[in-house]
Amino acid sequence: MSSVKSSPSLQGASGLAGALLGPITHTLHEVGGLVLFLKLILKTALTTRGNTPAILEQVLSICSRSLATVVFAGTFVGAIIVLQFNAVLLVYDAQIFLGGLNTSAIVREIGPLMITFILAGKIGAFTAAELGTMRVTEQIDAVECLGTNPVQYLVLPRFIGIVISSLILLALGIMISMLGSTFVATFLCGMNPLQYMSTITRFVGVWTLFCGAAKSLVYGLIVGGVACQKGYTARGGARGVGTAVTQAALYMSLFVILANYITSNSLNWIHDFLGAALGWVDG
Amino acid sequence: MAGSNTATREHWATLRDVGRLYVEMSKRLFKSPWRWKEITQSIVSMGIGSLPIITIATAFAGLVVTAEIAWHMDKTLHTVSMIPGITGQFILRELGIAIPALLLVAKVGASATAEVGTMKVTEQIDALKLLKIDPIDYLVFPRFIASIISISCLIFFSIAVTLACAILVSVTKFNFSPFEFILALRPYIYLKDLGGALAKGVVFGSIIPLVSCAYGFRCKGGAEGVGTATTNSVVTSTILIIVMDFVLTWVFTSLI
Amino acid sequence: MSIRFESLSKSFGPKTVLKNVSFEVSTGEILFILGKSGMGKSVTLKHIVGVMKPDEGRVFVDGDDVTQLDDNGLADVRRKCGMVFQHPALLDSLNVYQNVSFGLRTPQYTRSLPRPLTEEEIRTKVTETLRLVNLGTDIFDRYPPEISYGMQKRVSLARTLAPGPTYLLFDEPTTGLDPITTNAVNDLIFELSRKLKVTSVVVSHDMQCALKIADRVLVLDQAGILALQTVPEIKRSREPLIRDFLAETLALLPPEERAELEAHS
Repeated sequence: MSSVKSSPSLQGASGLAGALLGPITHTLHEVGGLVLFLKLILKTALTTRGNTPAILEQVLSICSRSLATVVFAGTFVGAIIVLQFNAVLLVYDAQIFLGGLNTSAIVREIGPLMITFILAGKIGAFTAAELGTMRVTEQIDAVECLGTNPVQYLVLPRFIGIVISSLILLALGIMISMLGSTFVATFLCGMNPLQYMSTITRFVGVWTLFCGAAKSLVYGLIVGGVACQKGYTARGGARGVGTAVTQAALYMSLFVILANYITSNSLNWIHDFLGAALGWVDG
Repeated sequence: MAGSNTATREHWATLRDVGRLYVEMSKRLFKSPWRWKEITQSIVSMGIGSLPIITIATAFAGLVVTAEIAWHMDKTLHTVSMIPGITGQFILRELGIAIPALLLVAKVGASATAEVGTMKVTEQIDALKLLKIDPIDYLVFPRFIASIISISCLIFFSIAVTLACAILVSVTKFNFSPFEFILALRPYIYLKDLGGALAKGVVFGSIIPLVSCAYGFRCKGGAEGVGTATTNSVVTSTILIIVMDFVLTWVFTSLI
Repeated sequence: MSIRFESLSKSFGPKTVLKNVSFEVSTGEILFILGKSGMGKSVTLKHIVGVMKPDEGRVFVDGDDVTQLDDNGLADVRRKCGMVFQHPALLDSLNVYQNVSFGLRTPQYTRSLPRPLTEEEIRTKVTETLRLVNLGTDIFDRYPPEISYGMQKRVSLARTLAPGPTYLLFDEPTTGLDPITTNAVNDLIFELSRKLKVTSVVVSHDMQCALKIADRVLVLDQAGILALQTVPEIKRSREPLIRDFLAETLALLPPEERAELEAHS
């Protein structure tokens, strides 16, 4: 798969060092490929016009296709998290905070992460399979030979479509998981729903919502970018499409977890900076 | 509309196949000679092959979640003294399990579907049948055993990695010493938590290979078929894992 | 004014596929490029439309060096060269009408006209083109998976023909087809080339087709040109590889031709 040959010095470093360095250099190589591909998409987006109808069509198709899955999965994600938090808080006799803590965790952290895992399969793997099939059956070459830029015609609408719809679907999924957790808190944890909801506003403010939205945007970029890149560069028949989808699914999940670390830290840094510079404190 | 109906029917048919495969597996557990050579090969490729990626992913997840939990604790209870207990429990019961399981869906499940699906559309599975080799014996059962063993082990491994990262954050950011952390964590860890982690490992480890093989066997129609099957298998495994995660969490937090 | 290769070389990693290959396609002829699998036949074709860039050497289409052209120039070359792929390569999300009219709506095509075609004109053109490949208007609304593979091949050919190319490039047009459809596709290539007065380059490993419809045959082997000869010359050739290719077709030939071929070996 990798087109970059490892240098002789790296090949020499066998054994433990090689085993540790291998995955890291490989991951970096994948990140590099993704960045180059995003650059290509950006260049196409800036130099071409009239893409809006195709993008809207993609958004509509992606959202309608994934709606049921997101609703179903979102409910269960909310339910799992509320059960876990409840068990922990009961030990400290602090069940009163369940609503706030749980909602904050869902909006800031676990909601975007878990729902992105599902979107990665539902939308990302689907797109990788679709573009991969087009590549190995020469549809992409045909488009190019007929004088249409395949990146503009096939990749760009899908990429931007995925970014926009993952924002929409994550917002929806987060709301659904809040509903799901309220439901579980009421029926399985024995809380009064009003009591459960009363602490939410103490923990969830504009900043928390902003964090959730920012993470959703970053995850959408990753899912769209990896899916399009792996599909667009697929090679070699049925096996090639299989490999493209597998790799897309894997690297989407991995990059989302890595991006989670980076965005969390950056957002905290921005929050502290805003707090210190402007005296602005919010949930 | 007709298209989506066919797709739905196909999904249900595949889910029935998964059920049938579970029955087949339980029969084979006691009956046939276990193909240890294939099982060991699968364990090496699934388990050892996934170690680097699981290490990287769970380490980063651990770093983030510890910081997040500390932030929340500080806000609710105005103290960080409970970080070890709360992060430890959360990692042991959920985080150290769900994150690697969802990653393994992509790493182990998707590649199994792609492989079995490619074998199906290139008629290799028909060739196996002609050679009087049962594809379930040969392709599914070794994966099933290997996946249960390696995913259970990987889950305990990732719990360890995540905990190590939680300790790292507590030590550098909140002035705990590693020893203090473990001491403070000790009263909040029960045997049932370890049992719960093992149960989740076994259940997730059995879902992933069976769902991926079922979709692989139903694959038809060349490159497009393999792509669709792989996509569907990732989505179905993810959803089944989330649902089973909820059920097991409920059993282990509320019932036991 | 035609297609000319000048000392073209291309390698994929350690594997040299083409080395120092030079030849010229004459106007109006049907040239077959023959060779075993992996001898760089399709690679040669892909260089003409600039989908692939050579390591060394140049490719001229009507005097323009394809390797040096910018996007606009490349678009012009691609308008002149219609490429027919091994797979039908129809876009699955578009129906037959939309697929065939795809090339008529692209900027590279409309740029060559005084004004863009109206919907009416596009419809007429699509109907005419489909008639050329012996298909009717009744399949306009069907989607590629709903029609037979042979039909998909014809629609794909029509899609390439619609913008009126001066060169037709075929990449293994008959691979994976049954003998009857193979014959139909070969006849179509022959008829269209003569009727529309286009120059055709056909990549194939089917010697029988080559003998039947080609004017000249180019045989590639081990990264280089083994022979570039007219059909009668090929029949008399003493090259072992060419004899092997010929031997395969012997059984299928009428007795008098078979006798003629055997006489040379």
